[in-house]
Amino acid sequence: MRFVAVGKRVPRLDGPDKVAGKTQFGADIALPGMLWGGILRSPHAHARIVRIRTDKAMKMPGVVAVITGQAFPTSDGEGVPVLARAKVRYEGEAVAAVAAETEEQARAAVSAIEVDYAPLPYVADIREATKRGATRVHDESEDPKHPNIAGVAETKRGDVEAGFAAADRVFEDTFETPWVHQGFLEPHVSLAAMDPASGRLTVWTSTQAQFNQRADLANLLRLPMSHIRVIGLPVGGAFGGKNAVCVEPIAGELARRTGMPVKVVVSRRDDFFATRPCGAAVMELKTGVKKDGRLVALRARLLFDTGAYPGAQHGVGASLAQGPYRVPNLAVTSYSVYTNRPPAGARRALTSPHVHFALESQLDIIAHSLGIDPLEIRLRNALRKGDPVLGGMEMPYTVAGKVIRTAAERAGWEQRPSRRSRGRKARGVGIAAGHWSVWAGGSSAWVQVNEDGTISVVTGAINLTGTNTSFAQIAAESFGVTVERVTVHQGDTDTSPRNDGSWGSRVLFGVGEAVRRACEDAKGQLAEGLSEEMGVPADRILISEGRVSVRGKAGRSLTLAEAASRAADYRGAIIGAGALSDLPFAVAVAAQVAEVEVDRETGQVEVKRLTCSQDVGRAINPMSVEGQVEGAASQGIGYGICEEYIYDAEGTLLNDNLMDFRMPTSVDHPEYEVALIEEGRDGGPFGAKGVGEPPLVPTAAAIANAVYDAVGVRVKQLPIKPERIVRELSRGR
Amino acid sequence: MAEPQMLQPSTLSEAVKALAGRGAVAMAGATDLIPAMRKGEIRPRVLVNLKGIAEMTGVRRTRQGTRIGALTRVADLLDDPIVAQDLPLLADVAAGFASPQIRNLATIGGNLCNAAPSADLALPLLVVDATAEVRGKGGRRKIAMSEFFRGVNRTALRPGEILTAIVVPRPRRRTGMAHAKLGVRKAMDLAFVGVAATIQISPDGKKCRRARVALGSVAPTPRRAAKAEAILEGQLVTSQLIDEAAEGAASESRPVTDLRASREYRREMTRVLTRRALREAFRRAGKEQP
Repeated sequence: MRFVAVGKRVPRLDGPDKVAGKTQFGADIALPGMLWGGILRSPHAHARIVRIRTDKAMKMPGVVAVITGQAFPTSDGEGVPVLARAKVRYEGEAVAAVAAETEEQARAAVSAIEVDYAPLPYVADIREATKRGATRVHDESEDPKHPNIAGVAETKRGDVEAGFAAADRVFEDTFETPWVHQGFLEPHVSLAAMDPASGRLTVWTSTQAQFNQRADLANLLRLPMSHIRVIGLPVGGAFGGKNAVCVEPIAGELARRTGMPVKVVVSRRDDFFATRPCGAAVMELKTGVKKDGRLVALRARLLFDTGAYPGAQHGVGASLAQGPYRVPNLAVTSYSVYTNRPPAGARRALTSPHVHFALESQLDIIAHSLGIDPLEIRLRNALRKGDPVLGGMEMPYTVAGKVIRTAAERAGWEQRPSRRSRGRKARGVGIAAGHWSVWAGGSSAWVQVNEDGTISVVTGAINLTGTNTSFAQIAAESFGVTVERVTVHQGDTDTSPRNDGSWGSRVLFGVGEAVRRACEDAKGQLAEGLSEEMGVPADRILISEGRVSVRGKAGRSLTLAEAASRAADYRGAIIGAGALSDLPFAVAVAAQVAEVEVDRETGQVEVKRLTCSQDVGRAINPMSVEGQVEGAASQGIGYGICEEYIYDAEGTLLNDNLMDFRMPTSVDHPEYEVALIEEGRDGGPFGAKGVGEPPLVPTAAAIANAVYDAVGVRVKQLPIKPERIVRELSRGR
Repeated sequence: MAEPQMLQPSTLSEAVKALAGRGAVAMAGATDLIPAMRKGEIRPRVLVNLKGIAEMTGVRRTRQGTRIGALTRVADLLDDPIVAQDLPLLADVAAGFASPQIRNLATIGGNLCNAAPSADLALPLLVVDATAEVRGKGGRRKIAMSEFFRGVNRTALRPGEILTAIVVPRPRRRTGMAHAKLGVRKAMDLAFVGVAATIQISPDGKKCRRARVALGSVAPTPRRAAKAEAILEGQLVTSQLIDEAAEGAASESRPVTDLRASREYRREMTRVLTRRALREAFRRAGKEQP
């Protein structure tokens, strides 16, 4: 198939404004008469709120309103209260909020709110939290034998005990991953204003999910949904951290009470310790294999730290436990565990990087132990078409092996340096793979063909990753016009059709297909409108390469502009709509080979080269896809070697800023090589599927495996700390 | 944060007078000062902006050696021709300092006066016996670099005194210099161990005539490692001697555990980096023209 727009390398349409600093982010916008919101946060990891006194704060200069937990009788869709009621369950939990005329006045008023706390013992460690007699984060409805279990998911296949009995070798290992921030640079920010005449509330916010925000705000503020308009702003990074409501209900409630616009900007510190970072995990794997490396049984016990309030980690984690491999017998038990930490949010491929760090590290252990090449053991076990995958699906295509082999070939796996080179600096190469299921969810788009033959696309999906550019390519392809003939508009909840949030790598897959279907709808309307005039049935009218012609009759054709303006006469306007929730899950497989250099004396690990391959079905915009792969892999390097929340003995977060929470900088990155495989197609637009999350999945494991290859130290706990490597090396000496 | 009053003296005597006021704090590049003010760690009533004082700028050669004005920006150290010739180690260290944006504002004087245990620029100055030139109410005085640091964020400056320049003695013959540091990432990081070393060798190239070793981030202040120096001086330089000196430096370190590294790891890395710096300094000394 020859494409005119799909598959072309198109620079992001929103790129120039961002580079030039013209994009208006949430912190940049203001309204006349605007007040500033401030939030009082708990200094305790766990305490009873004995009393809150707000009278002093109310009397402070410039203060217009003070609210406490009573303002919000219900919790949000994930069970998180907006302001704590009766108890605080993590350091940083919001307790009260103020609106004042200036930011400084708001800050001063916050510190004038008096709260008496009765501190309680707290639990911060997942293992401790699940022990009998552990401090309970929530008092109600708990199994005393298993405290702090927020959720359990179990999946089974075959007979796992029989599998172990049939195995030649059984391996048992435990792996741990830390709390990390998603690493978005723009802190949470919202501005809310209520129109006193209509009683309608408008909320401008940096969010991944404006329609979900609208539903949550309706519930939290007890307003009809029709009275709320959410305007999703350009987002300065999110990575799952802006899925849920954060300060929107606070800004909304303060705006309602004061009758004035209220803006809340979250500080960097608050963003670190009081929003929804990515939780820690402990993963115990017991794996049975045949001598030739074939996996026969897997028992996994996965513990995800969900922090102080419930989350979805256990369910998603359980669905990923087999990795991109065939596992005939399997039993997975996955828990979300309450601790006195912030409520855990999503981060790029929720729990998949955790689970694959464990799986892929253990597969490496097994390969080395059996004397099988780490590449070979992966190829032998790779999922093929028809293999059962978790969630009751069948693997729709045989592509995993090819993805893994491609990463190895591009990285020169066969020619890699011999292991354990002598000298101060040791080079090592490691491989890992991973997978992620992409669910299209509720997706929709409108398309209008304008009288000049240009195409307008409207969606309600938040453009995080350049998806609007890809939508332009999809629409351009559908009509056979150039990308410049298409404009894409991200509407808000009043002006665009409903969409699920921009998460789960779903936007291009689901909304992109909705755009394509809306284009087909519009083309059908054009054909119908013209069939009488052209004297042929609508199904003989062909719209391609920017022209409208009659199938099989050369010479009779109209430009799209002519056709659109005439059809508008017949129909009023050409407006196509696409809405769907019927796409099957797509399975995205990624594999990476990391080459590292480890300093034997200092233990420092430097990633020198990262080769990434991934099945993307179809790369609508290869430049954009490569950017997603490199971006995700760079996040994986941080996750692998330097990022973690560090707490002191009192449960206080120490590295609550971008200086001390070390993410790699631009000079810390290796050369990335990206190989895109366009094979596994599942009903996305032109065969495309989700690409943004899978490339974070294998990175940390690939690095850990490379470190083992270099110096023989097996790291089972992220991040890979130099200190630990030095300790292990001196022990072995 | 209440807005402090801002004063802009154009001469040293004006600045000294301004700094005598209550709650007055000297300001240069402000890359340490502003974050500290934001955190509420310091609340100046008056900020005395030193940047207009001409006699605190520029790098030139004098009879005493190379005079580096305290207002010299870290970015300027990178490509100053005199620094490149007289103290290339300082240019090397400056190149790894924070980030380009910070290097464009931060000054050498500010980095020294902030007196962080990790002060990057202190180490090369400590190993060349540099001197701080200071001006205060009582007039001018000089402080040896090895006496300058007194504690975390504390220097030998008396209240109201201003560091005006650093004077580096003329380069010695047959001397090699090197430094090594460890951080988590390559930019925007504070070293958790830093070492600088100089070795002057005998004319036959075999003996260490004079040695200087300075350690950063492993004690309350950047400091010299006297034990390591004593082990080296007057001795035939061998790999074993360097190992002993490195061991000496590690034993002199007084590191703490913080979120960047543990005490034990810092001590061990002091040994590793001292050995590396000494080896490299010795190699470079051998390459110098006798």
